[in-house]
Amino acid sequence: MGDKSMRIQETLSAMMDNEATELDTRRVLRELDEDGELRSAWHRYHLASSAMHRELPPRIVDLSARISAAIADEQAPSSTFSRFLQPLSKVAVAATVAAVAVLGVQQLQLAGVPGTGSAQQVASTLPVAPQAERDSSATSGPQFQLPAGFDLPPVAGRVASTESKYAVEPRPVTIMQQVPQAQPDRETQLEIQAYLNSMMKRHTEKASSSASQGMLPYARLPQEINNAP
Amino acid sequence: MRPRQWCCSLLDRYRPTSLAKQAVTLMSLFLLSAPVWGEGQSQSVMVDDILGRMSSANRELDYQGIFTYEYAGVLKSVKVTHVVRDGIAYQHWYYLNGPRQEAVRFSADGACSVPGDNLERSVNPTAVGGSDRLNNHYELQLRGSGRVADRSVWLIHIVPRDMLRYGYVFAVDQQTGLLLQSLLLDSDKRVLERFQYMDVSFAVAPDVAEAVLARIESGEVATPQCLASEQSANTIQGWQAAWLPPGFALASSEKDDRGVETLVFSDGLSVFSIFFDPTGNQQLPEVQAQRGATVAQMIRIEAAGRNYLVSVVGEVPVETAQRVAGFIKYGSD
Repeated sequence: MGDKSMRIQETLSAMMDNEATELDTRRVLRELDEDGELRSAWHRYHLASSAMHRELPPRIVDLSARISAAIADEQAPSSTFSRFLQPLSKVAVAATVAAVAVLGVQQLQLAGVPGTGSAQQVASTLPVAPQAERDSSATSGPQFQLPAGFDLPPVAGRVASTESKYAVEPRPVTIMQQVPQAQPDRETQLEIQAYLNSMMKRHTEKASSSASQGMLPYARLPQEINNAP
Repeated sequence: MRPRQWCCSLLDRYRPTSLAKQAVTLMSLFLLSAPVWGEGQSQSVMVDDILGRMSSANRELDYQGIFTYEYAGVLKSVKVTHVVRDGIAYQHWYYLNGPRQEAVRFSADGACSVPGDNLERSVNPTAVGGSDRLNNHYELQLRGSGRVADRSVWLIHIVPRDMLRYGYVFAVDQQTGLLLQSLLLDSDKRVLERFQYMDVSFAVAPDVAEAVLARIESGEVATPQCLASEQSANTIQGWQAAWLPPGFALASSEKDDRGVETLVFSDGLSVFSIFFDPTGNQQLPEVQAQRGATVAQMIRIEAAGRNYLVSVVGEVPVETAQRVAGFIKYGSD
């Protein structure tokens, strides 16, 4: 459990730096819902970030608890008046939400302000998840000549890989990124590769009957597993 | 033959031979304005036709050849024999580099698959499930002809309309429809893999064919246990892929004897699989991996009191695999 919350916290700090993947972000958001401690960590990280930007207001007031309480205390509109009161109470709730929204926007802006070497400071103060090594060696083989005029939409993401082009023997599968972030030992790596290879083989068998590209799907399989039963 | 010529031959058919001078003048006006329309129209028909032929070629042709496959600086070359008997395609592989190795298999085409070929269904609107056409998700461009493995080919660029899938450059044999070259490109226009025949022949000597058949008939290659066909589109035993890239539909599903369930999704060209593994493997961490064009995203999900290792594996951008994985749910909530 401690291991898990550690991992979540790391992801949280990665989110602060805009480095978390979509998968991670969803996980954290789900966790934030249930974990009060995590919520306060989220709060602290933002405070720390604001402090480093020297953009803290002179007095910090945490309205979130009071707003929650106010919403909880709100009388459920009842009986005969309910119809008239309902719109009113909606306004009241809307107002409190607006307060939260204003605070939220401010904080987001603070977190996103570029400049003054703040990124490094944050990185050294907070437990930032180490970045998966990113290079483009996945595609740095022989330069292919692209047929002219192949038009694709502009890039949004990039494909990362830790595969080294200098590896003597290309590994069957390259592990790009791992959660948790510690490098797995050799044995685990081999196990992961074996597992991924078997998944890939099955995928290939399915793909070959779904994709009509002839031999191509099988060509993707590493030689040593292509003929394994 | 160049694209311009198709349009002209198309129009030739409609050229009036015995009309009055006036009509001829009108007609020439039409001819002047028509090529734009004619070219586009005949092109897309041509591309659909070529892709359709490509899809059936692999199920119907006997051939023998040598191809290379390369990614990230890795190059392998394989000598392959492909023989079709009674609708079943038999393959024999012989690796020309590295350890001396062979592989034999027959295509389990159709086993556990949604009826009809996926690509064919995508380009042919009248075929089963053909409403969601390839055209909605890729731009199909015929880029003239070229030469691969000493044979004339059609060059086809397949450009994705979004960033959820990869693009392709195909070179398709003009005579037989066999795919002779394929490049797979990411959204950065980087080539992630190249598959290409060096040499191919469409006459397989009978003794070679018989040898391949005999080797395959003598043993192995288990047939998978298919899931009941009443499984709904993206659900399997309580699992749900709540998000799929548009155009991807279930292509097949199966469950093996260890209880690992598989869903395969395809948009007609790109394919990814999702594996739900309830068995052991507790020590494996969640990872993301890549080899050439294939990515894998492994995550753990607690469901029904078991710890599942769920893997999304396929030739799609890593962001797509990640998003698919992020939306996999157990139960209906």
